[in-house]
Amino acid sequence: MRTVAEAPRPFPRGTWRLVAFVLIVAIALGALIGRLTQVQLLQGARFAAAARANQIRRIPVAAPRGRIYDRNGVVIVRSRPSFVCAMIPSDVRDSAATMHELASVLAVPEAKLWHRLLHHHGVDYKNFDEVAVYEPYGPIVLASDLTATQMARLAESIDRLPGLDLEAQPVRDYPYRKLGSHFVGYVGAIAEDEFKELKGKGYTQNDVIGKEGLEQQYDRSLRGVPGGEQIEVNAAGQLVRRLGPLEPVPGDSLVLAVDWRIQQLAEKALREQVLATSKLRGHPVAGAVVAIDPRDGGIVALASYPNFDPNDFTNGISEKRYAQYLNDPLRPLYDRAIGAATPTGSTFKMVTGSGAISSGVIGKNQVLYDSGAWNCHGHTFVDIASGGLGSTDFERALAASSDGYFYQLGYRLGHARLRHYAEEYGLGRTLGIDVPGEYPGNWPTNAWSMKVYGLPLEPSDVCQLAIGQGAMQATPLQMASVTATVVNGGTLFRPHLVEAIRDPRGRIVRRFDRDVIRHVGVTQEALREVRAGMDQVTKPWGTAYGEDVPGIAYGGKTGTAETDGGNGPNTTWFVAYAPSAHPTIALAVFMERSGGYGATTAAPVARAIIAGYFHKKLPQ
Amino acid sequence: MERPWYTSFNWAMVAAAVLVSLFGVLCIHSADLHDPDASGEWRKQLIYIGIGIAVMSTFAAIDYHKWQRWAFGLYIANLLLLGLVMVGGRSALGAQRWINLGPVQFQPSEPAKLILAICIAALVARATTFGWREMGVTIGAVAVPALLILKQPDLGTSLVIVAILSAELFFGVTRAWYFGIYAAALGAIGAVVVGTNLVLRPFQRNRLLVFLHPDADPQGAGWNLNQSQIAVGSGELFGKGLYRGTQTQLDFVPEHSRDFINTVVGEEFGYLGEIGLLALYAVIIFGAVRAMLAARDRFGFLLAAGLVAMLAFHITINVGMTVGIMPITGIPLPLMSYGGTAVLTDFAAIGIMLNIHLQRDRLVF
Repeated sequence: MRTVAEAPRPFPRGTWRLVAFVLIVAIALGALIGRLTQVQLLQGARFAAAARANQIRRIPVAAPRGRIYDRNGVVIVRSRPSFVCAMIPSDVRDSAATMHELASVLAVPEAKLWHRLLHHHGVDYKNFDEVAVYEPYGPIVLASDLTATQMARLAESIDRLPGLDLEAQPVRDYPYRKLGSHFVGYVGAIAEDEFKELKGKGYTQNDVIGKEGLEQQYDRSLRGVPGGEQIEVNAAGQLVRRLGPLEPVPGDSLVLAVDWRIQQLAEKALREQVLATSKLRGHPVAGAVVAIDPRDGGIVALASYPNFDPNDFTNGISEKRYAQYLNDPLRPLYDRAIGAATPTGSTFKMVTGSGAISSGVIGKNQVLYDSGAWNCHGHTFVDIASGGLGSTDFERALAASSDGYFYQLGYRLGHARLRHYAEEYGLGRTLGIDVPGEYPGNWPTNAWSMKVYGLPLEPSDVCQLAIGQGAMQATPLQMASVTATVVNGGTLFRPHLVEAIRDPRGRIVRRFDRDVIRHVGVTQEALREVRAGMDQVTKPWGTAYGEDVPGIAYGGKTGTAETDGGNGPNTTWFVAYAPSAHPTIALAVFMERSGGYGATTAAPVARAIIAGYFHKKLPQ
Repeated sequence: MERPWYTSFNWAMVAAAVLVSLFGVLCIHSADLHDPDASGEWRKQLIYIGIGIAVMSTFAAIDYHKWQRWAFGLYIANLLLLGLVMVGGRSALGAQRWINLGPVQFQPSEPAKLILAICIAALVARATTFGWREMGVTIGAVAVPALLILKQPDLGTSLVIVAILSAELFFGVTRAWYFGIYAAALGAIGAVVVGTNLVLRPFQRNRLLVFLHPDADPQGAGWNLNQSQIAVGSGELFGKGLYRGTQTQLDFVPEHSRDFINTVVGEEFGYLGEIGLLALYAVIIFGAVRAMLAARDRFGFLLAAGLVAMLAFHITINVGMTVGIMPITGIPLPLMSYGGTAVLTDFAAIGIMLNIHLQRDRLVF
């Protein structure tokens, strides 16, 4: 017989408590799903990248930097292999023993090796363990440019020295040493602050970067893409497997407008004249030369003396050598060609003269009376070359550099118009040459004068400025550019060193076409007059009489600027172009505090360059 | 009409539990792939699961009321075992949690959770009205073993016991506001525990709090948290594939066959794997909730509530800690993490709940 099921004893379950309980459990599971959605779906890509970064390390291998060629294909700068001994700290077993052994193998002082290990990339480590923590895979170069003997001995012992490697690293090489050092620049290990700035642009802490000149300006093209061996590591940083090497991509090459033959000529002529002048004057002298192709603004030569050897910097410059460069009163690291600005003396008459004729304040080949002095707004200015020329026309006044004539042009033009022409020719502003360090020079304005002297410009100042004296300043680059503009019919080009960039296979990846800044607002007639005057500079009545080059007619203009209010040695200038009829080169020679006159000190440099350029012999 | 037993049996819950445990074996195998010392773990885990299924079946067949009768004996046995760990236990990773039993180790804090769930349910069900005195007795009874476990130190398991106690008190107290007072007191104790060094050792506090600011110490206390979050996150939608999780395989995540097994799920099986796993857990938990509803008496109801709390707490804390929303307390993921005692305990708990559910339609003669 079946019994009836006993009803369960009733007990209170508490409906709301049950609902709350289930709700809490459901919310907890829901929160997990929500968080998983966020972490895996919304931020998944970020975490995936973090996971990849966790396990892949790269032991960098530097790419050879691109070469630098002159316009004819001469290799000016290249990279050569250097055999180095590098350390991978994570693989070193006993650092003290390893360093000791390495010192005896290479036959170098152990202290020197330790110094390289603990002080590199601008960081100072206390001991090996610190290096191993911060740069476990290095490679840290302990000795570079190993000799054949050192390499052979190291190769024998390398198996007993885990963590050390013999490898070839590309090193920058400047076969012409000091030649062109200022525009070429140099390279060095990336500094802490440079790295901070460039971190996001593919640079790493072990990089070598361009520090000055073209090496700096075109670093992104020259540096290439570093390769490296990729390794996978575990959480302890131990190597799990090698993922194969990543070949470095060599950097692109630069093809310059520079003609290396002319550069060498210019450097030689400049150096000889500077040394001769230093000897003559009894104090050291500096100088610069800029040669521009007036047809496109390409820099044919750019020299500054004294100069430096960029090779000194490639393996980290020694403190002693660096101190020598820094303590030299003539500052060899300073590029005068683009950075030195002084009054230009009479070379500025190119600007005054073409401006005066273009604006109509004088007529064509205007005759004016040069008494040897001129009263300009109450101030009497005397000719620097004593005695007046009497009645003289424009061409002759320019060739003979008559101050009395050009004071009058300044007086007639006035401040506003003279400044207009100076600025049209690009003075007072950088031209934008493709290396760092260009200085804009100065053209004095009322505002400038108020700031510096607390007084406005005197009306009479215009006569001083008209002959390139006073507060005006221009660089050799600017004066070469003015000369080029005068001879090419008034086109002011942006001066440029680099014509093209070529990839490692020789294909042109970028070409820099001529870049016109502006067409200067002067008439062709005015420019013809100026050139006619300059063509006569080596004539008997010209200031550079006797400085002619047999077989080639050239034009030029001397300049002599006083320093220290007339008490210091003169800074002398000479600008020139050749050949007169269809110029292919425009030059500015600058001799800083050389004493003497433009004709005697600066002109011989230009003469030597022009003679060499056209393969002419100068009479001894 | 009497219905055959198998129609009342919660098959879905059993299937989910077995599936989760087998998925766990796969994950353990992947986690240990490059660790020769642990290469046997997945086989051992399979054996534990086999025994676990037997235990589950046995417990499903034992009338759960028997636990009520055996509660006092179990309580004493539990204390003895925990005492034994204190005096003669084996320590590992700075904690003394295991008793050596020949080739295997036994971890008494695992069954302690189950035993205490039974004891609390028995104490509460006995009283007709559950007031302050009864609550004091219950808490006092739980406090002794819970403190022994905390002393090992095993903070995670102590917290699980608090969760079980709280769930059963929530349903047990006669007046709801008693529970409010209890909860407030618990909060105050929690503040002291987390805020001072009085209860916890500094390394435990550090580990507990680091999830609030994981980047403060990425190489130290924040390491596990950051690395496990990278592991789970990097799995994205589909995962990197079995054995292909770099974070796990290259040891960036610690303890990946045990407490951090969920990082293997997240990294190698992706979001879909995680959702699938949580869905299986949901089947188990809501199977347990069904057992609560089906319970024929207060004891069964309370016991099931305690076990629901236990499972849900484990899952939430464990998965939550691998994705940075829960403190790292070191409790295993039920049925997934490697560990024999834990697997047996989880299967036993499911067995008990199966029995509670089974008795829904049982006729009493």
